[in-house]
Amino acid sequence: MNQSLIIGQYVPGESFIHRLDPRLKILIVFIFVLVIFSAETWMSFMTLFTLAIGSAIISRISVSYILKGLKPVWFIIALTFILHIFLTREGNILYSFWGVNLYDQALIQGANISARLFLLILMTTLLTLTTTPISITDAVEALLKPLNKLRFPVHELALMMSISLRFIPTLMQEMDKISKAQASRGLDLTTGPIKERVKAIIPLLIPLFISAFKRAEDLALAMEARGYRGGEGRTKLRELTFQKVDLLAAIVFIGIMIVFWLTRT
Amino acid sequence: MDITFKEVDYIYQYNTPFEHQALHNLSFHIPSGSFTAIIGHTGSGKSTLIQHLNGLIKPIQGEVTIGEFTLSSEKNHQVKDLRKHVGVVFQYPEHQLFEETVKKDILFGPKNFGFDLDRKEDELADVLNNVGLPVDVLDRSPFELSGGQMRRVAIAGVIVLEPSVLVLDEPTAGLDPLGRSQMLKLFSHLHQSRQQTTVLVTHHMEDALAYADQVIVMNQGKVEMIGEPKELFKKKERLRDIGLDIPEVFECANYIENKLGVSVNECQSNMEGISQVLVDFVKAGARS
Repeated sequence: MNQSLIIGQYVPGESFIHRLDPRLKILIVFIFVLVIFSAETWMSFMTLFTLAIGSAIISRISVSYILKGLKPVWFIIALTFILHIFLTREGNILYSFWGVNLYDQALIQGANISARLFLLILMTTLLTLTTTPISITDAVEALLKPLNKLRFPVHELALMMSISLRFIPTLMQEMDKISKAQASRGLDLTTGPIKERVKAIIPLLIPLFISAFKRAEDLALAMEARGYRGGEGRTKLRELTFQKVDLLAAIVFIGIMIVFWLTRT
Repeated sequence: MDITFKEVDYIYQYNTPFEHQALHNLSFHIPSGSFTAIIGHTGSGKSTLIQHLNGLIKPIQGEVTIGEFTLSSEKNHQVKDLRKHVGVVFQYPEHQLFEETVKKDILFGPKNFGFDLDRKEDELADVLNNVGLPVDVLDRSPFELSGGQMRRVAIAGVIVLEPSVLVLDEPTAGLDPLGRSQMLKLFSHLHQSRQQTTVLVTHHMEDALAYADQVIVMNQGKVEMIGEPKELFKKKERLRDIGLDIPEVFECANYIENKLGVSVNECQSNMEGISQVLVDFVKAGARS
């Protein structure tokens, strides 16, 4: 079950992308995601694709692995494309059959949206593939630090994030274990009418929730026993540092963004 | 049912950067009606092995035959039928409970496999008696029970299916010594009264020695040794090498042999036998 979806998974490596400062990576992805939606022209899409695919190649994660991991996402991309083709009614009619008209604008819009979705998912997946969950949380905490002045609980937010990220694999394993135990007792999740299949989720969810609550309680106790008392005055084992490679990456990114800005419209 | 593994390979997360081979070219045979213990270090592939027994995972290479069912890397549509015949009690089975009452939870399996529920309901008292629970727990919520009782309920939910093969993955982990020996006696009793093939995964060499007629020793995804427990535990050095102990009685017999120079033969490898040897030795010493 966890073999087909790789979003949120980390693949250890030593590449240039892996070693970048996580704060920079998050900023780049953030700006990239914002910018995707202002892309209109052929050239500007090319620029974004070059950046995304280029980073994927530099990260040295096998392309087939990334593409296979995005399998569930292909479906969403294909669906948006098809919906656009049928629902957009602008521009010239290219072709018409059984009373359904195919507009040229529909094709262009559909391709546009699909390309944006693909870029969005590729870049964010690349971020999590090359950055450990711990670095991501550290970076989020560092980036949000200014909000501390507004009494925003930055440390608590980061802690919540790291705990949930930490427990995703654990819960996945737990789910796997429980579904195997129930399958051995004859639970069938893959065949039968939809109503039965939805019902079949209950024997999985209840044990999962019970164990999650137990875990949460244990974790709270363990944290208290070790004297956890929030972010005030806490030091870090790993300090984030901005190095020369990061500066280089930032300059390249800014360069690409300028090219993008010039070709945008 | 006979169980045969033929050159089975299994790889976790096949075709990803996380690929990890858990079973290497595994071949062995478990005769119908036998009590087989599987021992091995953590990570030696025991749990992977038993998941092949009811088709939870399929071999990537090779073939598993259980009775008339054959599992290979191809899709098999009889898996549900197979699961009806092979009951698996997983580690910490109490984690699988979910129903409102103990009764409903025990009958979850029979309902899924299309058993005659009225008949099964009549048998419930018997099943509870087998696992050592009072009948009045039937209408209580499983979550009100103690950990040991919950485990018994979960085990009842598997043996109510009367499987021809019962697979147990460390069923005694985390139980107190009394609970442990009760649990093992239960399985041994079921094994004898129902003629069912029993496969027990365990860390306790004593349990393997006391109950099993065949022991499979796993090491790093391979079968290291296979044979009768008494024969097998003589190979102390080889077991040591892969990080396993021999049962205490064997340890004790070895110690007596070395210290006193008397020999303890294999049929005396139990507490009575050893004490008999000691008694004889002391008496002989007193006479001379």
